[in-house]
Amino acid sequence: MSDKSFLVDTTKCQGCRACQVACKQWNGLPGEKTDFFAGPEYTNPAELSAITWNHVVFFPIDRSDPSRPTWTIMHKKCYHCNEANCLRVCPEKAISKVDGWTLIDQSRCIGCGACVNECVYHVPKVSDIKHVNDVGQTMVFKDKSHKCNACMVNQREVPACVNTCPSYALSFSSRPAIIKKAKARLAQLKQEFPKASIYGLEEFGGLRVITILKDRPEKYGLPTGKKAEPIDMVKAEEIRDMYHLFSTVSMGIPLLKRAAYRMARSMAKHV
Amino acid sequence: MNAHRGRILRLLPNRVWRTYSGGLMLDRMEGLTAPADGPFPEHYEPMESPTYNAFNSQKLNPATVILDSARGEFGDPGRFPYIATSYRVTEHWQAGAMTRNLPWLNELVPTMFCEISFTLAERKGIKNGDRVRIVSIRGSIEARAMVTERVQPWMINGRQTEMVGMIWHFGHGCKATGDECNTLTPNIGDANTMIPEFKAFLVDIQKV
Repeated sequence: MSDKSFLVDTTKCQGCRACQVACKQWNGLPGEKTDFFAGPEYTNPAELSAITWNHVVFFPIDRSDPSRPTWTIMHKKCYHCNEANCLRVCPEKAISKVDGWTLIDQSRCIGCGACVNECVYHVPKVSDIKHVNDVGQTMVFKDKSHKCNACMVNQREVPACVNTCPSYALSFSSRPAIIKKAKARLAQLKQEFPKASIYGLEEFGGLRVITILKDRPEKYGLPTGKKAEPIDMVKAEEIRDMYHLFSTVSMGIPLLKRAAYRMARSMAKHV
Repeated sequence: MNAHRGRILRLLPNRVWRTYSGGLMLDRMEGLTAPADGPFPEHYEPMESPTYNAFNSQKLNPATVILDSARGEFGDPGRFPYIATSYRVTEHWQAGAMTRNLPWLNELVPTMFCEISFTLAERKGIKNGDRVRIVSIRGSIEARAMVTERVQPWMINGRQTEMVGMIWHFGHGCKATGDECNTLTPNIGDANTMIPEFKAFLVDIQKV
């Protein structure tokens, strides 16, 4: 299991959102209360949350070439960065790497929101509800950070989202095999989409979710280059130290803890 | 096999259509000298159509049965200028009796909605997510409007015609409710099988 990776082929995704439902079913997460489609096109809910660990984003249809309109649909979840920002800034060391997957230990999490603030993909979210599943296990803890755990907690051979994908847009295999597959697919795609790219080979020391895109990553809101470099270890240390100083006055109240973290973060920037 | 053929041929000639050679052979077997084939596959417009039939002078399939009870309830394109159609989404199944009780699916498609183009939305002053009222001569429903690039106006016989597309999974009961699309649909059937002509009709749309 140690070198497994996901492959998201956005050219094959048909937007059925079975992955979003399968994830909630396997991990015992509740449905969100929505009123109407929250994002562009059918995107619903608007973004990842503590109870939505994977999410399908529909981008508005691109009619710049009227003879061939293209519609991109992207599956988004935690990218499991090799050098993860969330792991570096967590003041309680609640985030760790298990078999290469970035996991949050909710028993140590204090809900300070460090990971929420530092993740450039806006993946981890602090939950404001508690959810108990049908057999009495607490799946979502109040005031704790949650995100995709690559089905490592409620463990299974192939993660639920990959297992359910009807169009084989998602696949799960060893990292070298996934990269080889992605490059072969990209070579195919270059004829149809000249600007097609692979995302996740270098960002944050290599992501565990490799995404094949029809265009440049920037077009889909994915950070590249300087923006996708892991946080400086020295700065992370500073934020952590500053936070420990402030958190003594927070008296364990989550709201104050979050405020303390934000203060520590802004102070560290000036240092 | 022969018994089946006899039964088919006993149907009224103008209510069936067959392949030309097959028809000739079957007619000879029944003892008819002249071919008695039904109308050939032909293009007809739906009962409620904003345009004329460009292929021949007959607008509606002449073999269609129009019930007396429904005769008066067809809208004209002057009052109801937009084409409407209904369809499904992957998240719900049929009228939604099962799927509209599942919170995970209700999260994805929570309410009755219709899809309209940017040009129609601009003309009617509708923004994405607005409540709209869709009216046909048979009834009216309320829905949320999704303004999207995926719906484009049609060029029909030289005139730009707008379309309103809507899902029909919603109704009363269950956890997620909405107005029924089939309140709007016409009571007319296909000429051969009487399958309801629910996928092509005329409506008007207003912002609530």
